Amino acid sequence: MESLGPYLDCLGLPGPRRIVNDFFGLGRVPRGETVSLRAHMRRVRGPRLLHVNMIRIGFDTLAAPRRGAAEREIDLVVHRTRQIYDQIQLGIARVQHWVIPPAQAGGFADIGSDGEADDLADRFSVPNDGVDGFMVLTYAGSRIGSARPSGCDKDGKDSAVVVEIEQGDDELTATAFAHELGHFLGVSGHSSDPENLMFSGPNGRRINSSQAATMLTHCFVTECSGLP
Amino acid sequence: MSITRSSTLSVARPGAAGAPTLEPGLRDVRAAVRGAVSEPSRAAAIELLARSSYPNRHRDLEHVLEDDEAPSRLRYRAAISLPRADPVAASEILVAATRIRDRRVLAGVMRALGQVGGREALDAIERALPSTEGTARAHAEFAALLIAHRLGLDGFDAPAPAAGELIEMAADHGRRLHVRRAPSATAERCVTDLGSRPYGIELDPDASYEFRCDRCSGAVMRNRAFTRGDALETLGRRKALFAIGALRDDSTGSYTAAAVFLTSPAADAGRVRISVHLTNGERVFAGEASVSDGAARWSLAAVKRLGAFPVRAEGTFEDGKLEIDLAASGTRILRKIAPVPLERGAARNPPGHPVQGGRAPA
Repeated sequence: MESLGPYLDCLGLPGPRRIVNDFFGLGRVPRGETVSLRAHMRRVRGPRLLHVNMIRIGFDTLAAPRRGAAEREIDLVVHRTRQIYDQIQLGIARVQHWVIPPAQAGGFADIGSDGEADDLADRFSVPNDGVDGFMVLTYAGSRIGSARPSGCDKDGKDSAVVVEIEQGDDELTATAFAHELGHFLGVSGHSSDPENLMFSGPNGRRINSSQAATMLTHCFVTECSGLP
Repeated sequence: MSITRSSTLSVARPGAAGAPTLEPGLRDVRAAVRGAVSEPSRAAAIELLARSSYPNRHRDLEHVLEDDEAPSRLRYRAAISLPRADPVAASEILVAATRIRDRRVLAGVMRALGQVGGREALDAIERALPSTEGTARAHAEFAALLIAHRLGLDGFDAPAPAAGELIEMAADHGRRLHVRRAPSATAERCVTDLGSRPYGIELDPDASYEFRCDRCSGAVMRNRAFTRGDALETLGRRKALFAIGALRDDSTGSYTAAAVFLTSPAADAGRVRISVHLTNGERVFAGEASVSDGAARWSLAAVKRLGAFPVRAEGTFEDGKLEIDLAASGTRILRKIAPVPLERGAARNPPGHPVQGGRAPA
């Protein structure tokens, strides 16, 4: 069996390290789902990787059962996003988890407009090469989340994905996160095909070749060099 | 730029004769709002109902808001959805709801009251303020500020920027923002998307500007009450909600309110203070207009705060006509905060379990 060490080192994951928590970036494997160590090693070895930071805001205000459910929802988001982007050979490799301390969260747990979402992305950022994904409690209006096509500078404006966690449908949250990640990676428009990930509603999560070409050339797409 | 909630159920739209009709599906939505059925989710159903034209939908939302047994997140969502359902009825319902002690729900009540509240709402907010804390208090204070400016009332002033509080940007630095008078199609779309009397004001599509920067675009829509020839004289003696800033979703072309432009007479005659706030109350820009000979010269700059980026704008205001001579923006955020790492498994521990490790905030 090949050693995991070089993979974890390559991803820059600090020790002590656990397979599910650190290598897969999951709290637990979502119920009814399976993960493959071999497949994830292949993913990390692949030529195109994307690292993601899952940043929680306002979770401290949730009662214990609801908070646990929100964590399971995040695990599903990570798992599904990985599956969705596998179809274009873009490996969602390192997923790390973060929290905005309550003293700094202000009113950002409940996003009231796109302007507030932009301000959230402007104010907080993980200083690494991953996409910042903010999980907020609510996002007012008909939207579940937002993201703008991002530049390469995390100290620039609007470099993040913002998605609501409490809209009541975990699979839709996962679709929304992957959809907004598509916008972040440069896909600016919406698809009219309900099977396409970039359709502006529940959809079949497919990514077409034109969208893939845009996403795969984004400057956040990287590789894990140095693996034996 | 966004994915929308489940739209598998149709919602009512006004019929040709103008009378709203109850289309198939709305009954299911209302049942879902009550929690009587599981599809769509209650959160999605509240949103669908608020967007519908069912005449008494504010009553369904009121029921959720007043239900002590309902989760806070749903009561919060019901509160913030009320202004879209029926602004007049919403104000009455929200004033009564200022007695709610659940902080998150109260935050939603205050946020919504700021959009639709009148004198009674301001009185209710004043009564509630002493016992209101945290985010709810911040929203309550901003609601009072909005109402006072909308109605031109004394008190509840936006603080004047302290010396050094604005970000200086040299005239030859930063990228020029593309600003022009909004084409009629843009202005009409924006007015339509922002809805009837957003923040309690009537927008004038003929007095609007659109802007575009690197990764965002939008419009500044002015309050029709301050587009006439006597506007400058009025602004010199009363507070005003002068305009709304809207951001455009480039993937759909739709607009949503992002900021409010507030003005108030300064203590020294001949000056008008300008304060621009995000919809959550965060003050992002501030400036001043100097008035002489019936014309004003104004300037705006970004307020120093975490997440701020430099912005500078200036122009003139005369005979109700706003001119923007310069608008420029920096591209770098002044200072960002690093989130704290979450220890694996910590989130599954009981509430209050400390987050271990972590990078000190920047």
